[in-house]
Parts: sequence; structure tokens; C-alpha cells
Amino acid sequence: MKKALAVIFTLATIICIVSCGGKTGGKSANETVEITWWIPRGEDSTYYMSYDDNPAVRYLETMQFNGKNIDLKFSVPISGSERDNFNTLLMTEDYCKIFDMSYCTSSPEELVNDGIIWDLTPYMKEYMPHYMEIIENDPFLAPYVYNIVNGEKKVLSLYSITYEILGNFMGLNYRRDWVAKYGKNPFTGAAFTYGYTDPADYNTYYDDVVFPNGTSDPIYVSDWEWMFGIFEKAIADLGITDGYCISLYFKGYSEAGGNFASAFDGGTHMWFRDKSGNAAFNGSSEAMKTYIQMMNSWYRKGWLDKNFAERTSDQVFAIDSAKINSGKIGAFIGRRGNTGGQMDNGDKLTEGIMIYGARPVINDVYGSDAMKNNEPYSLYQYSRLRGNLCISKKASEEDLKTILSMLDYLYTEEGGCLLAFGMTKEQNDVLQDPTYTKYYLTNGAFNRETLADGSMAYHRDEKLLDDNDLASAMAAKRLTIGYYSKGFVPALNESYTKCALQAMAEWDYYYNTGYIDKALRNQFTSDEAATYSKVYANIDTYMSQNIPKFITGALDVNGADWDNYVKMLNKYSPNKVTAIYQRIFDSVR
Amino acid sequence: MSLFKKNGNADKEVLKEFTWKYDFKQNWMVYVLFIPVVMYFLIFHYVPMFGLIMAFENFKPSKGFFGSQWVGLANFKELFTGDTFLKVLRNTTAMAVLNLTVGFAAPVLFALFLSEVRLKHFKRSVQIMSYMPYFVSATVVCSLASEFLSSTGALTIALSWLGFDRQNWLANPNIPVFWLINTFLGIWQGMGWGSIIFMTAIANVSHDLHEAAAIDGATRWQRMWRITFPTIMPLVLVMFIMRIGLVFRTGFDKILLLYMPMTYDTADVLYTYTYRMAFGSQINYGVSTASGLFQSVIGTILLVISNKISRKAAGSSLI
Repeated sequence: MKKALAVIFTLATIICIVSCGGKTGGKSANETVEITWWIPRGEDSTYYMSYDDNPAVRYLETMQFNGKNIDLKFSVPISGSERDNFNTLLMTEDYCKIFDMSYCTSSPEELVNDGIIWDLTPYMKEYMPHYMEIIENDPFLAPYVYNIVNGEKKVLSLYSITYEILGNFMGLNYRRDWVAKYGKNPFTGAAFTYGYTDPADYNTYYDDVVFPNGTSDPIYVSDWEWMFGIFEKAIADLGITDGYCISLYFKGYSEAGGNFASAFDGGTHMWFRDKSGNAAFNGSSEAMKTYIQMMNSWYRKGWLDKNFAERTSDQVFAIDSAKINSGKIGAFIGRRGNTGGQMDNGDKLTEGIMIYGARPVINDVYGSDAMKNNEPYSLYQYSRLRGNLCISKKASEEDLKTILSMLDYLYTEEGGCLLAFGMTKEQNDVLQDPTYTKYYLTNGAFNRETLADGSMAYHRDEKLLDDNDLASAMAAKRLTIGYYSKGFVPALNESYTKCALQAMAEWDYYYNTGYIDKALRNQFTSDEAATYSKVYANIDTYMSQNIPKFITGALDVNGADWDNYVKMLNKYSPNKVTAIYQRIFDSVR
Repeated sequence: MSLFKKNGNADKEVLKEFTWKYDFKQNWMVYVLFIPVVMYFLIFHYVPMFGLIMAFENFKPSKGFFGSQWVGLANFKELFTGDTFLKVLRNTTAMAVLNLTVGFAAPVLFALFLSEVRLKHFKRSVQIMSYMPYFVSATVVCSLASEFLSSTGALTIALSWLGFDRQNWLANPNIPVFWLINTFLGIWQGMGWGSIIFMTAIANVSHDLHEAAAIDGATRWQRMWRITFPTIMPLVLVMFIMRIGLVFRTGFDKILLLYMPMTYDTADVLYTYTYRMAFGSQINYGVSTASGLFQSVIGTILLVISNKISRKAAGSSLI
């Protein structure tokens, strides 16, 4: 009897294991391709333990590509160990079939030469037609997405592309409330009026502030200097002894978010692409000299932070954040989270605070005529390229075709929505995802609306507007692949406040053509990468030592010190890096 | 077989048999217990030495040790011919010398003086309080230093009473400001912990010697310098020699956290210089390994030299 029971239980267990394994979704009996994928970052374990369980990824697995099923297995390193983890996998030849290139120190070309990744060029037309259509119809993308190997355009890695740039997360901010309260109309001399239509909602703030340029926003250096005069009054009136008008990054200059860098000739402080499409270096140019003259003038007038050079551990978007949060500073480079009345702590200095964003500045005061009234065009903004990935030789040629077909789906409108927003109601009805059920998203993460002009608008579920982490976990944003079509960015920006949207519109007011995206460094050869690294380290060190000295007056920008600086800087051969960038620009003209 | 003849003298030939084979036979368990220690050192200290080959290669993780291009001494050349290398070497040497002299003497003197304190509870309290900074992380130590040495910091105010200018001392680019700050931070953090071993050695000095000296009229000061200090001298020498070997490798984390472009001229050391050069936009494994190897070789040479000097001068040595 006991033996019979034991046999019955054993058989029942075997039957259960055989029939209950696998995922829902009704996969057919076709071959399943296992795809391993290394990504640098996953989601909070509150939502799911493994990225394999991401709802959008699970939906992707219900589909077939190249006639085959797919099974995605993600490898996510511990936070902080991404580079070590990636290099270890590379050295031990234990890398995945797909890997994100963010932490790879070798260029795609080197990896192809080493036999680690596939040269995708022969397969692109057939297996990734959507991707090819996007990159062939957008001339901006060509220098980045193609590798030029022996004069031939090759596709060695795949980029995540957006139709329009995602709104910048940082830029120049200033205390609009101080301008409204302590300033006077520069034309009539009348005091400004300001207030809230709904005192409980800072987004209802209004004022009639006018700057010397005649508009309601600061555009020129002269507007800023007018504003600094007002900030001085505010600081004195409020009894602030340790405040100042504007903060400055410890190096005295900044490649990222240097909103005064592009005020003179439109370029930035280091390497950039000029209006003719040629590579240029501004570290020792007339533009840099004029910039320093302006900063030195501001320093002598007491408008700058006297201790700016000592704040070496502060990020460029959070310089002296204790004083910013205390409301003691008039203008600073900040983030979306600083805008509006979000910094109102209820104390004397922050009560009624209203932070507005400001566009990159145009010089109309300092230097020669050539340095004045030039619209900025070399600006740090979010790139239209969010990252790139490669497909390794761990994938067989057959697997490669399936992988490319799958990735190409993510460059369609439907696939892009899955990545950016998550699943629709219809898609979730197919999958019945437990995470969507748990977070009450059974009606889907978003819906589509066709507008009168035929274009598409996207609306995310309200629960996702208030919770960025949840929104990210319900979509597949960690996969740096795919295409964000037109209309995606407004939908992603829906969650931002009116003040944040105002700031983002100002920060991205001018169109960037000059700032060199770091994605371009994927085009470097091994020797070029080594040259760039050495030259950049030397120049950055030298500039960060000397620019603050010029600004504080310890060195004379109008005398022999400047000539010595230029001579010394040129000894570090910035022209070598300029030549490297020029080669890349020329190769895709 | 007995090791000794009946008259108690060890027979030379018998002693020859008292070899490691005999010892192993008698005490094999001790040797077996030692195996994990040997394995640990072999696996985690000797085998990884193979990685030093990166110092002679243009190392790429994708190519591995055997696929990367051999460049000979090119990485060392790049390191030594850097524009600021000499200044960096000067700073490293200066801070090393200060750590070895002032920094090493402090725990010894502290142990000597504290051992003379009679009040037990006071002595214990001071000892415990002196250990505490050792357990504070470098990041916190540097934050404290930044606050205390800022232009409005407590230490700055105290120094202003002594006639110094009120300034942010960490931003002072003049010699030897940063060197002294680094040394005294090291002393503040390491003095108590470093004195433990000396306190233990002092506690083991025979009381009979002190009693005899006291009877002969020696003062406490004289007893400290004529009895206590000479007795612990072999330990002091051994610790000093060990410290010499590590002199180029310690304190890098505090310097990295405290230095800034304004003080690169006096604060930049080999580690921080290598960090900037080798860990920029591209990681240069070859140069960073070459820098590490250079410092290790220098440290080893200094260790061997000081060991020999110590043996000749004081009859006491580490090896």
C-alpha cells in the first residue's frame, strides 16, 4: 500500500513539474532562443527580484522573431561595480550575447577585430529595416551610428535613438521672487507686481517682470548684471552675510551646463564642433579670455562665490547646495527639482521663493565685437542617443538573426511604446502580468490618442505620473535600445510641474549643434582613445588649476600671465584631439 | 630515539636528525593548520603578482594578459616623463618622510607618556578615546577636516589667536601646509591605535628593573628613557622597518578627498597623479600598474636597506 502511494505521488510530482513549468503566453512549440543580456542597472527589488520579470520584457517574450520564440535572461551587476563586473566578464570570456557598451573601454571596432562582437553591417538591411530607415533618413545621426572602417561605413553597435531630445534636467536657475520684489521696471521705474492666483499652489505664480532686453526672461549678459544688482539689494535687505549672486563650478569653467561658456563665440570651453562643422578647441581662445574677463569682473564686484574654487566635491548642478536650499543664493545651476516653489521651507529666506529657469546667455558687454551677440549653439543637452549595445559572438549566426529581428521591433512605434511607457490594456490582457495587477495597472500603463492632424499623442496612467520609479519599472527603460518616436517626449514630460516645464523650455531654448556627444568617442581607434585620454587629463588638470586663478585675479588675464598660460596649454597638444575629432567629422561629411 | 645522551649534552649527530622531517612527524597537526594560511598567501598575494605583467603591456580587458600588446617600459616612460612627475615625486617623498618621522614617533611617545600615568581610570579613558578616531572612515575624517580647517572653522579660529591668518587651510597652496595637515590627520587618526602594541610591550618591561633603578635614585624621567625606551627599542625598530615598506602606499584616500586643483602643486602624490592620468575617460591599466609596481619596488628597496642598517646599528632586524 505504502509503495503504491509512493509511486502515485512520484508520478504526480513528475507530471506537475513537466506541465507547470514555463511562462504564460501560449508559446507554440517552435524553437526557443535563449538571449543573455548585460545591462548596467535594473529596477528596485520592490517591484520584482530579477529584470527577467519586467512586464514589458515578459510581453516581448510572448512574441516570435525570425520564426522563433525568445527567452531573455538579464545580467545586472551590483550598483557601483558595473565597470569591474563588465571587465571581468570580458576577460573571462563570460560575457552575454547582448551587452550595453556604457562601461566598455574598448571601441566597437576593437571588439570586432578581437572577435568578440559581430559586424552587423551585412545583416542590417534584412533584419533591421526599421533601424536602417531611421538612421538613413536623419543626417544628424550619421557621425555617431556608423563606424568608418577602411573608408567603409559599418554598423558595429546599435544605438538607442530619440526623435527629439529629452528635456534637460539641469540649467541656469534664478530667484524670480527676488527680481519681482526688489527690482523695478527698467523702462518705467515702476515696482513689479507679483503673486499667486491660488496661494496654495505655487504653479499659479504670476508677475510682470521685464528685463532690460524688453522681454520677461533674461537673455543677455547685461540682463544678468542688472539682475545681480537686484540680488545685492535682496541679500542686504534680508541680512544675509554669507550669500552671493551666482555660484560657479570649482574649476571656473564647465563643459556640462556651462551656460556662460557659449555666451561669447557660441562654442564651449573645450572641444566642440563649430558652425562650419569643423572641430575646434576653446581652452586658450579669445572666447575663453573674454569669459575670464567677465568672471573676473564679477568676482571683483562681489557677485561670485568667493570660495568657489574650494567646492571641489560639489557636482556642477549642486554647487554649495546647503546655501541654495537655504535661499541665500540668487542664481545657480540647478535641476528640475529646484524649480518653482519646491525649495520653500517656510523660513524667512525661502518663504515665497520662486525659481525660474533661464536660457543660455548671449554676451553683449565684454570683449570685442566678434565676441558679442552670438547665439549659443554648443550646449550640454540630453543626447538624442541614449546609449548603445553590441551583439557578441556568443550568439551564433542563427541567433543573431533572431536577436536583430527582436531589436528591430523596438524601433517600431509599438516597440518603442513598450520600452518607454510599458504595456497597453490590450497587451496586458494577453499577458495578465501580476506586477501590473499588483499596482492597479490593469488598464495598461498608457493609451494612445490620434490627434486632428493625424499625429499621435500618448497619455500615461496617472499613477505613473507621480512615481518615476514605478513608471520605469513598468516599462523597459533600462534597455538602452529602441526608438522614442515623435510624441514620446511630451508624454514623458507630463509628470513635470508648470515651473519645471518652463525651466526645461528655457534650458533647451537654443539648438545644440556644437557640443560633442560622448557617443562620438566610440569612433576612436585604440591609439586615438589613448591620446584623447592623456591629452584631456593634462589639459583638464592645467585649466582647472589656472582658470580659478585668473578669475580671482591671482593671475592677470590681461597681461603676460595669459600668454604663459596659452603657451603652456599648447604644450599639452590639444591640437592632437582636435585632429581626431576632425577626422571623424570629415569621414561622415 | 632519545635526542640527548645521558650526560644531558645534545649529541651533534643526534641534533642533525632534529630536522623538519622529525618536527613534521611530531607536530604534523600544526603544519596542517598552517596550510590554509599558505594557501591564502599563495592565492591572494603571490598568484595575483602575475598581473604585474600589465605594467609592460598596453593592456585591454578584451584581449586579456596574453593578447595585449607588449610595450616594454613605455608605461614607465609615460609615467616618469609626465610634466608634473617631479613635483609629484617631491610631494610623495615629503609626506612620506613626515609620516615616518613625526607620524611614527607620535604613537611611541604617546605610549611612553601614557604608561607613566598613575591614575588607572584616567589612563584607560584616555586610551579608549585615543583609539576611537581609528574607526572613523576616511570620508568622515576628511569632512571633519574640511569643517575645522575652513575659514570659519574652529581650528582656524584657534590658529588666528596665535597670529595666523584666517583662511581655508586646505586651499592654501604653499609648502608645507598640506603636508603638515596630512601628517597631523594621520597622527590624530592613527596615534591611539598604533600605540597599543607599544603599550603592551611597555607593560611587559620587568618591574624589578624599575624598582632597582628607583632604589638607586633614578627619577621617573630617567627610568623612562634608560629602561623603558631601550627595552622596547627592538619592537620600535621592527615597526619602523615595516612602516618604511608601506610608506608610499598609505593615506592616499585622504589626499584624494582633501586635495583640489588649487593645491595640486603641493598635494598631488603618485597615487592621485596616477588616478587622474590613468582613470580618465579611458582606463589605462598599464600606466596605473606601472605606478603601483614602481611604488612597491621603492618600498621593498627601502625596507631591505633599513633592515640591514638596523641589524648593523642596533643588532635588531625584521628579517
